[in-house]
Amino acid sequence: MATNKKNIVLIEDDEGITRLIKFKLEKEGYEVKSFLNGEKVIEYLVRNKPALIISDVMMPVIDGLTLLKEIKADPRVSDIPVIMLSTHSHESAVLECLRAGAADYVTKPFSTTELILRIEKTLLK
Amino acid sequence: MTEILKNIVQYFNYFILLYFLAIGSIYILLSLLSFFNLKRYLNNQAFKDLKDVFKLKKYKSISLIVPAYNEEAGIYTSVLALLQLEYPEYKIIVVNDGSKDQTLDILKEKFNAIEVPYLPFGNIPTEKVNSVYICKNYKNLVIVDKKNGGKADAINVGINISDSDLIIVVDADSIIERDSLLKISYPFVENENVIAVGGTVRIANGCQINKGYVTSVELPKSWLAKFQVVEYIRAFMFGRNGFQIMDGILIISGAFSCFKRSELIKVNGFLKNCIGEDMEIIVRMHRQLRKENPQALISFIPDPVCWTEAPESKKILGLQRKRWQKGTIVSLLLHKQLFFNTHYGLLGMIVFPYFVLFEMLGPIIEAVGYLVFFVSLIFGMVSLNFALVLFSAAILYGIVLSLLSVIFEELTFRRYSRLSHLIELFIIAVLENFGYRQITLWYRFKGTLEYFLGDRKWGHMEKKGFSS
Amino acid sequence: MSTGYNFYILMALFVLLQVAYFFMACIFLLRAVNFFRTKRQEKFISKWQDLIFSYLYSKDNPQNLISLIPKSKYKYLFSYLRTFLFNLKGDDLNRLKQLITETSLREYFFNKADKLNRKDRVEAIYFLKYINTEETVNLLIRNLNTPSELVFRTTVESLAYLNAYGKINLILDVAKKRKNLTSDSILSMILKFDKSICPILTERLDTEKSTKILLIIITVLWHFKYAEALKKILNILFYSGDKALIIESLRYLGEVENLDSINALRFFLGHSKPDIRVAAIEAVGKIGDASLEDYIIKKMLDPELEVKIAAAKAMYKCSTKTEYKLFEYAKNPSRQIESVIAQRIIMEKRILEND
Repeated sequence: MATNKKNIVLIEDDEGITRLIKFKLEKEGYEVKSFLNGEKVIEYLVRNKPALIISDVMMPVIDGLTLLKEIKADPRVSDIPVIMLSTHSHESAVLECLRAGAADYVTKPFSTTELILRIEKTLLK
Repeated sequence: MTEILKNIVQYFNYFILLYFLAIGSIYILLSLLSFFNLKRYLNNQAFKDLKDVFKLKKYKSISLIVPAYNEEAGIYTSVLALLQLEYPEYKIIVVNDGSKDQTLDILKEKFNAIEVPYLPFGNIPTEKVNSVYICKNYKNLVIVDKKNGGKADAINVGINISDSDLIIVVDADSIIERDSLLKISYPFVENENVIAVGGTVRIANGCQINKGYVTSVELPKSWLAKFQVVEYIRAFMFGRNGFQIMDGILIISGAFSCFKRSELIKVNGFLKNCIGEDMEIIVRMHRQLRKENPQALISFIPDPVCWTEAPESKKILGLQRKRWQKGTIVSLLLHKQLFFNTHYGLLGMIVFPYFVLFEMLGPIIEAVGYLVFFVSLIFGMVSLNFALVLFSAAILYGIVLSLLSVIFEELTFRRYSRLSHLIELFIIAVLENFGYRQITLWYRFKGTLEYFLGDRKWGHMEKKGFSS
Repeated sequence: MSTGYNFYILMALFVLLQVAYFFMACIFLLRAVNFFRTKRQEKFISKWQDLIFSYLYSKDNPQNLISLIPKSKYKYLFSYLRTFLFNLKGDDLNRLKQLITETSLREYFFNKADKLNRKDRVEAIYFLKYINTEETVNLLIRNLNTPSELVFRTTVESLAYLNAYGKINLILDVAKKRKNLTSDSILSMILKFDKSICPILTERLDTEKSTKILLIIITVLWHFKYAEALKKILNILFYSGDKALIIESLRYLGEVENLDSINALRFFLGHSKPDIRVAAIEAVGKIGDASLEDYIIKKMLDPELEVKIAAAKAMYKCSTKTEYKLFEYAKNPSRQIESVIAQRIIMEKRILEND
């Protein structure tokens, strides 16, 4: 299955943060498709085969953890790595995401440099 | 003889006129008070980062209690949505109140519930608890199955099972905004004397709802529901906000309310088999807890935190309003010691008498007023001109108040974002005074009458069939 | 009621009609004002966003960017900055801070912080926390004596951000005098400081008379797991008769997990007040010391339900011996209540903790 090497999907409900991450990633040469919540994401993933997913944990309608579990349960897209992004600095939340199959975890407040490094590291694997 | 009768009618007319003038001035006063309250609230809100609570190790723990009776249609979506609220750690306790449908089976199956032994932390007497379940995948979800005993009893079971600082009672079909826990728990942090907090409830009919979230706020199609939109805005903007300044909140909406658990246990929980258990508990908390601690405070946040389905048929609206009216009467009569009781400050001296005179007896006075006025019109004691002018004044006054509440909404939360909404709200605010208000008055009148004639039934089936 | 009243009521009708017209106009006016405000904000974002982001990842002089933005647009700039200052850290945050510290905004905020308008002041104080100088701290200290609770809170939080830990005593003194301020409020403010306030607060334990402030201090020490205060806390435990203080101190002992507190814990396990026994059991459970095993096991037979439950929870994690005992309780039908509690705790822990 051919994955689009430079294509990243971003799921985040804060527009300002979405714009910033998008700006930075595009500057680094990635293509970014953004969603406000986990809805309709799976269909997009199946069609476009992005290289990586960045998802907020707390979102309305379909939250990050539910989406992560759905992705990992769907054999068509389960191989796409997911980096979780959240305000929870609580250990239990981190563990829960990693247990559910997240490739990595970034907590807010975050730095875009750190995010890029984690993306690169994840893509290398 | 006829002379005396005429005199009586005349004086009664004066009394009614006075009554309307009084209620009018009270509303003006309330709107002024609520304006200040709103302003204070919004100013304080501006530079507060509610999400800071996520960084703390210590915060108020919360249990959401969801009493469910025959809710098979919507319970799964509701609970899923409740699991996604923003708060560091909270528990959801769904109490199945002996439903006759599949409510419990759906919950058990969808959430992979595992039965555990029942362990009560509180000791409010309740009906028998059959079983308690916890869920592997949703660690903060507890499902309880109990023998049917009514909403109050179901909530009490939840209180017994919870070991949190705060208890939030949510209707199974309410839609809760995601940051509502952060908002409703804040008054408890700010003031140790706060024992309960109510939130603003809005009408969900017509709104776009996706998986238990309001994704886009719209006005309903049905006129009956439209009128309730403006009615709710008015009631919450004026009534609660205004009374809060006097520490005189007597009603907190049962659809979404928050209590200090320790205080609920002190008053022995909700009153079983009581028609308006959500109002009764508040009046009782005022009465009992302010005796110990005169500073005890029941607070209210004007932010819209909860959306609820409004009845779209006259029959069910009628049942709902009759029930509310009976609930008000029960709560007021049970705690009549508060009436003009100086110990309770403004609550005893102003708010409680206001409720007795205008909320409890109001429908009777108004209805009799209309009747007598009509009679005196027929017998020529009042000229037709005068009658017409008086009626127009009353209706115009109602319009002005409705418009004012729309202004307040526009000044504060602006949930109805499109221009077409505004024009529609505006038309509703005017039309509401031709028919809708009279209909609700009629229901309240019937409720009052039924109560005093001895029909104190629950009206239990209301709200069912609306679950989205 | 004759026609004589008609005049007055007509008058009222007329006035009401005017008011209704006025309100209608108000509604639409408000909507228009708001509409243009959002439009302007959107325009601001679309116009400046890329410039701000480009600045963030360049070496440009921040003043160049600020000079471009007209003062009338500051309102939008500030709300925009707040989102990012709150959500970013590291290099990104430093670059963002330079927009305030190394530009004309610096003077702008200093001027605003002394203004009478409360809204302006709060905003200025909020942003001043990014300018780390002596001058800022002094200005903030001046603002501590404000009558407004909002200004006070923002000021303390800014001082915390600046890590002006030397001022913590002063802050507590002022906070003590403000009667409306709850312990929870004070805590949420001063917990924005970091661990460096702990030595000063520990010092204060000796002299502080107010129970409220003592409680706050112990909670802060608990929050930061500040073990060096252990001796003083033990002291408070034995010489204070206040229930809340004792419970908070026991919680602290559990958190710092020091074996020196074992004797104290053993003593309070037998206290007459059930909530104190619960707190002591929870602390023992956290420390998990073998010498107290038997005491915890016995607490299962305490007359109070809450104490039993706490004991069961502690037994599950304390040691293999207590865990084994808990299973025994679970299987023992002759002690029904204890058996149910033990079963519940074991099941809950197994289901929720393992995967």
